[in-house]
Amino acid sequence: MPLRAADERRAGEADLADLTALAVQGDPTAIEVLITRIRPMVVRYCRARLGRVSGQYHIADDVAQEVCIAVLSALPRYRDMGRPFASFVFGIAAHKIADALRSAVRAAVPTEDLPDGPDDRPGPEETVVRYIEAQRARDLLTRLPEHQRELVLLRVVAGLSAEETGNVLGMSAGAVRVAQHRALARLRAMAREESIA
Amino acid sequence: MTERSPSAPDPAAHPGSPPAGRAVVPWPEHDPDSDSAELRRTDALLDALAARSAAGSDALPAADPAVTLLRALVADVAEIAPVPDEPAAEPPRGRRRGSRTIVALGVLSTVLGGSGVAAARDGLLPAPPPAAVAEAPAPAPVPAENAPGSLLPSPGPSVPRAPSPRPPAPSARPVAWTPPPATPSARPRPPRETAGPDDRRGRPPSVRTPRHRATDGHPRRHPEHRHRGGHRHGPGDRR
Repeated sequence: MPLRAADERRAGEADLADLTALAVQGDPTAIEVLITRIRPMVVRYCRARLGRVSGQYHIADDVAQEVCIAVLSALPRYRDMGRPFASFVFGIAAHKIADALRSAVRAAVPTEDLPDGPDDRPGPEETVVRYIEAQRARDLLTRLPEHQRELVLLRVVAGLSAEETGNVLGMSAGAVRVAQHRALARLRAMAREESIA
Repeated sequence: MTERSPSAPDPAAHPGSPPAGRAVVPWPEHDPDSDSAELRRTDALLDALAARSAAGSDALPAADPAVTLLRALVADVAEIAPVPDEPAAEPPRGRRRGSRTIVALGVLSTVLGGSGVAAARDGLLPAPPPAAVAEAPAPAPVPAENAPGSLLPSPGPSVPRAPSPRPPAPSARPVAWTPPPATPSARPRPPRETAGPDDRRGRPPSVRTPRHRATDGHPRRHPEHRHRGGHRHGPGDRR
């Protein structure tokens, strides 16, 4: 059932599953709303997994863009097997990130022109503190077991619910809740150890 | 079977009472450090972290180092540039580049106008009258290896030169390029009329058409001379 432009708002409020069903049928508005909805999650997830290269997120953002393109390409072949669409998206994202990690190079970083106006972003000190803390969080996450690290990233960074995270990782929602509790306790202990040391 | 059916009670809500018929699950009743209240609290904590609107609220414990680090990570990855709806307009850098281009072109034209490029360009223009040539400082004699292609000006002392007996080349043909003033030579050479091999054979200078000079630029490459040389070194001569 194709959507008209007047129904765009209603499509935006529709459930992701309904949107997915419409997008699989080729509805351009549904495809646009679907990509608009999943793109921020994918970008955050790729950034959290890949981190910064030369202080920038260009590599992670490029991978996120590739994920969105791959989702668009695979959309006509998507079949609803009872799992949420997010598991399909993050399955693709995991493969793309693995490819990027295999071919990780220190690429040249494009720089923008110097801004002519005032910059409303946080100042240098605050930015550096945030970078350091984020990098420290990544370092601690790498010391977690792989399934716990993936779980925390999907829950916190991608913003998936426990049920959606369980579908992505092949776990039940209860198992996700227990595992995330253990992961957080472990992170807490490691952070305290580091602060003491 | 590890999946819980939708109608089954939540073990997190009823710790200590595992559902009937369920296999032994290592959580939460067998995990000493994860009771249901802690699990719910952690779940709410992660939900609050995921919903970045609550990142600065009191819902997140500030003294928890793990929460602090995860909050920093979420804030760090959350700056996502919006997708532009339409192509961006001409950046202001274009205007600056245009003004730079104009300045560069002005400097370039000034430099080229005062250098040998302008002299080379003048060679395509009509030749000045003989009187003007006689009054103007004449260039130094041309070395054989630099004669047609040298664009360097003549800074050295110059000798006034008499008007050439050769008729002026037609100005409409670009092939009638007049060699520009050449580099000075430490040792002055004899006049051009006795320099080439054609002149040694007593040919008048008017026989050398401007066409040969324009295409080759070197008297040794004259077709007639090449033919004679090949005949002289051919197999028939050896006999």
